[in-house]
Amino acid sequence: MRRLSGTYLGRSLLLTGRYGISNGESIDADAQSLFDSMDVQPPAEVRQMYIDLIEYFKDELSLTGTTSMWDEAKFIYLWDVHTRQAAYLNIKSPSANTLTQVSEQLGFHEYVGLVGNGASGLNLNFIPSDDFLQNDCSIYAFCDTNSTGTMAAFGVFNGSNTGIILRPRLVSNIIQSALNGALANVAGTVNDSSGMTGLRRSGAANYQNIKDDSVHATTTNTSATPSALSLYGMCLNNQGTPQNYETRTYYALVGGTSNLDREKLMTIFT
Amino acid sequence: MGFKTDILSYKASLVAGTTLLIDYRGQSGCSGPAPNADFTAIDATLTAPLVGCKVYNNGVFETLQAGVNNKLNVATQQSGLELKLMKDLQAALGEDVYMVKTDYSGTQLAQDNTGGVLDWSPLSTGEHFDTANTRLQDAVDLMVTAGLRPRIFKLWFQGENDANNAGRAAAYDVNLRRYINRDMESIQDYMRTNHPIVLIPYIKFGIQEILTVANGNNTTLRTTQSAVGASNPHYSFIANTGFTSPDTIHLDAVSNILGGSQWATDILTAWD
Repeated sequence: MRRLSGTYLGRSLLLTGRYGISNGESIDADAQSLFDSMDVQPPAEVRQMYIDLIEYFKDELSLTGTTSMWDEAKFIYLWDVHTRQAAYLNIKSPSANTLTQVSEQLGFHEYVGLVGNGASGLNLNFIPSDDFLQNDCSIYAFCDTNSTGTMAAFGVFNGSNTGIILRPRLVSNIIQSALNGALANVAGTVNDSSGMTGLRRSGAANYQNIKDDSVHATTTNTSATPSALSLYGMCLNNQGTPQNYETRTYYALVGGTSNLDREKLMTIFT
Repeated sequence: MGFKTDILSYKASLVAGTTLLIDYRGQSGCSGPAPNADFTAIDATLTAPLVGCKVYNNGVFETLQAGVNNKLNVATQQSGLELKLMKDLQAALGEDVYMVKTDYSGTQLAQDNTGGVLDWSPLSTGEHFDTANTRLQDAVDLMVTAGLRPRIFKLWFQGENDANNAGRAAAYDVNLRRYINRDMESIQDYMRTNHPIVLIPYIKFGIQEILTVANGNNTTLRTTQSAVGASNPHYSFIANTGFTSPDTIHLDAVSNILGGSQWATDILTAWD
């Protein structure tokens, strides 16, 4: 990690590095765009963390070996940050997919994340049929809390009861999920809802549930056309009706093509 | 090098040099109806002025003393777990520790829409939630003016009233989660707006399980308190195990001392 220099809150800071803001270097345009979209600027240390994260996404190759993680991402949200407004910004594109509230205000705890209250969620303003390919997409959620229940980390169901949903740990200690397909209980015990849980589809009959840096299960679950309804976070959008609200704490959410590298996501987010 | 690891390191760096402020809220269990004479009989130092333990009272911080300033608006010869809590914290840290105690006996968390009852709901305007927040903000202002940077532990001892009603008990889960979220965010927003140089990323929330005899309603409520307490690594929950009571609702002096000691231990380890 780069160090910061100068004076901030009485501490010595040293800003260096490719995307640093000292030594006359210009800041990365996407990082600058992100900061320009924030109502309140983060402390210098946290600002550098944002810059490092963007740099990592751009420097690291995706599973294609030729494209970057940045290129393969559609949305990147960091929630363990300094303000709710900053948490709601899509780092990949701050002018698009800004989160909006579903029902009452969701809990935001500074430098912790978004805390579910069982009664509200988030609209990603992201339409899967517009932005996800049927057989080439993935979503990963990062959770602080270990608990069981039917709460949905994210989800959308269309009229044919297919769609996108992640329930990280049912009472029966399994993952229940869908990604452009029918809802399925995934074989294999899950004893911890915290950490990274993800869904990845790389083919019509190639569907993976990811837990931390491993493939938890691979199935031949057949794909369907992505939903035309907006994707919700921390709850399920069931044809416009939010339900299955989260009561857990989440600190990041990222989605994109199937070429996002789960191990690199673990490295940069955890 | 992950973002979360870096955030945790950043937060840890900010704890150094901060001063502990306990924001203690609730109803009669918090207020503490145990006679001061009972505390004195067990440990006379608890009811003497607690040097180094500061309590917010009438717009200033005073040395905490049972029967003088350890209840909101009224001085009675009764106390709660705050005496042992603050004494242990001060002794362990070797520095002044601060407290705001906002207690309203017989009050509920569920919003009352009849207009006849003041409640703790964040949905209500100008009632206990707002009053407690104002008191906390005033206390924070005093500390900042004195050159201190507070780290805040919020302790919640409430629910006896909501356990008296099946509907309120059933709604306690959503109501408590909403309360915690609004409570935490309220002080974050206040600090960001009014004291932007005083960063307090560390705010923790503790839930004391109420002590009421088992029936359908308060079993539901206590189960909720336990579940909410376990739902977030930034929350604490302490069960009523070992507590005794003269009236099946309120802690006696022995249990208030036990509770104070348990919370002091929890709070001292909460900032890892």
